[in-house]
Amino acid sequence: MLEGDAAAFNELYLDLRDSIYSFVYRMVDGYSAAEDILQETFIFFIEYPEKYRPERGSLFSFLCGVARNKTMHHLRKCGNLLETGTDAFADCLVTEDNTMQSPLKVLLEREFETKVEESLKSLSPLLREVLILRELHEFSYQEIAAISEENINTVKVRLHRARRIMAGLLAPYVKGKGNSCHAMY
Amino acid sequence: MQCTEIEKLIDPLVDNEISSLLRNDVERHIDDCMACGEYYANAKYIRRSLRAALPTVAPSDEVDAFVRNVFHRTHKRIEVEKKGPTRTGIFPQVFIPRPVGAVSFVVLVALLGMAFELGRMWASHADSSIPDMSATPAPTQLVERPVFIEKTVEVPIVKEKVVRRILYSNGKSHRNVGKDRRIDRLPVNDILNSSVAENGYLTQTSLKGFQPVSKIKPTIIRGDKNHEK
Repeated sequence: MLEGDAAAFNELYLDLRDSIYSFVYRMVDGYSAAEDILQETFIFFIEYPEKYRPERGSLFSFLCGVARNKTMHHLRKCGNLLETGTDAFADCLVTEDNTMQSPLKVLLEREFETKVEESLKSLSPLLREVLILRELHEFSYQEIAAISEENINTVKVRLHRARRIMAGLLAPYVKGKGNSCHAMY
Repeated sequence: MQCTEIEKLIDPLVDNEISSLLRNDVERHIDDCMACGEYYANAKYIRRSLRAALPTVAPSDEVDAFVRNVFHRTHKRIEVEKKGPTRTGIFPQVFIPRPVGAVSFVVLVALLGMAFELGRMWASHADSSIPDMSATPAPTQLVERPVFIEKTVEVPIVKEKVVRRILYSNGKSHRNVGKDRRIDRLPVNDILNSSVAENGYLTQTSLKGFQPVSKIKPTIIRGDKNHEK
């Protein structure tokens, strides 16, 4: 690809395009911003292919790192503070009383998807990126740490907090025994 | 192990990033502890929910076209840079190394200089060997040219001072004059050699060349010679 093989680049682009775009789209709000960031990510790779070093990880994680940095820059530019929202939803953590008091009897699939999407977007960007990279793209802790330029313990803490907040936000959609929200499935 | 310690290990267990030794301990604890088991189930539930509710999305075709276009343009630029600069000029096929070109230029300039000098020498030699008979000597003429000598002289600036003086023709018009007997002996029409009062003293001053500003009526003193006239 570095030698300018158009076919190789095309194959590579088609393989990674949707995954990177999905990651960026979940991080920012809006198609246009996500598409801009996707363009910038691949243009960066085209202009500076030597920045990628295979010994450091896969090309997908490298491109995710580039996209992640551009996404964070975009969020900062838009006044979206990275830490905002971390504590605002702490009250939504799973509690003993409010989770099962009013369980919905019928969950429409569309409503559920909307709720999950809204819950994810209500997380702070730092928690959101860790959760997306782990749950949707199945990156390891080491890879997430490399992408987000943090140490591995920070990644674990953020992932733990993100899961607890998401469990609290999605608790009303759970029915079943006890407070466990996995009873739905 | 306590629940606080287990809670830190549930996420690695869900993500399959736990050692086999710890895995058995954590799984055993989860089976016994309801709170830890609940968190474990929630974590797995969130993963399934996210994957079910958030499918992979694709960008628009415009983005694909733009990225591919950028790739092609960059690819062409890299190819041009690899080929190096293209030769342009009158004879692009002829390659002349720079050192050879520089030496050739110097030699060419030296040859041109030598040819110019030779031409000048030949021309001067031809002038001296062939006398010009058509030229007639011009008649000599002596022309005197004025020689101007310039000299700068510093001239001091003198401020003109106007002094007002009172002119007395005889001693009667002033009391001091009256005391001076010599004035009475002055000739009547010798007004130009009269006395002038300055700072209260009478001095003998020549007023020749001055014009009187007022009429002076001198008193004629009779003398011996006047009677004769």
